[in-house]
Amino acid sequence: MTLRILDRLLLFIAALVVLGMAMGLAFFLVSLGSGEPLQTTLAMRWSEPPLHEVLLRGSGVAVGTLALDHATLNVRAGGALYRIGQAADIGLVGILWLFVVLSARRLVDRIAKGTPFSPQSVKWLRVIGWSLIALNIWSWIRLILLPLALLPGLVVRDGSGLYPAVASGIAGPAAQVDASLSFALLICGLLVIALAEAFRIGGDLRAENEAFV
Amino acid sequence: MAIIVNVDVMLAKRKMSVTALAEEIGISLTNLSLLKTGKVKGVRFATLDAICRVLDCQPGDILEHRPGD
Repeated sequence: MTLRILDRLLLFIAALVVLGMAMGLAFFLVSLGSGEPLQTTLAMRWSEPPLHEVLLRGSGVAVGTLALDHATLNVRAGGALYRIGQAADIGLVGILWLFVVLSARRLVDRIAKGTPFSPQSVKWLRVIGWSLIALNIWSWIRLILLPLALLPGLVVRDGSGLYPAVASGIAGPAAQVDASLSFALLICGLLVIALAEAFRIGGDLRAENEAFV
Repeated sequence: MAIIVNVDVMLAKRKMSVTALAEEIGISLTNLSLLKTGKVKGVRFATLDAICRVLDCQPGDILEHRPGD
């Protein structure tokens, strides 16, 4: 019963991924037709943020500062190369998540049939693991490459600079892409690949056991 | 393999069919056929015990070691 619910849940997630990818590509095509790029949202960090003193309510003693160092950049800009990057991003991320969800569904189906330790299970677990790792690596590449293509053509009205994550030694007020690299999917992917190896060993043990009468 | 399975010899001596033996010892006919033809990696003590009990013989009557085979 639990596996059936899990199967239905994975099917629902797969449908959501397809819907999200279709909507993203539809928005992209509409924007391509209208000549206006899709909106890009980037988490930014101010290099010289305004500071506000934080006081104790009773005594008024200064105990720290509040730094307004984070910002969000919402722009509709970018040339042809950037648009190709946007389409590739939507397609690649969607396809990788589909790989993950559909492989997980096949794995659940195999477990439900009572034969989890099969070569197919190992193959699907490896697909899931490598897809998660690819998603994590792509998120890093996107964080580094897409701003490199977008930001050189932009300037803030007050004169502050906008810089990609890889920029260094910035003088003066500037906002830099917040490169908080996540390792969560990478670690999950590695764990799933380790699990695939455990399944492979389990399959070998089962085959060994079946060779005895 | 140097280990020869002589279940068919014992079956002939006891005038018993493979199907009857499979039913008596509680393993599938397929597995018993695989055992008979030596196409298994091993035989569990429980299976060997059941075969010896049903055929009224010793493990040495069923298994034989022929060096060089």
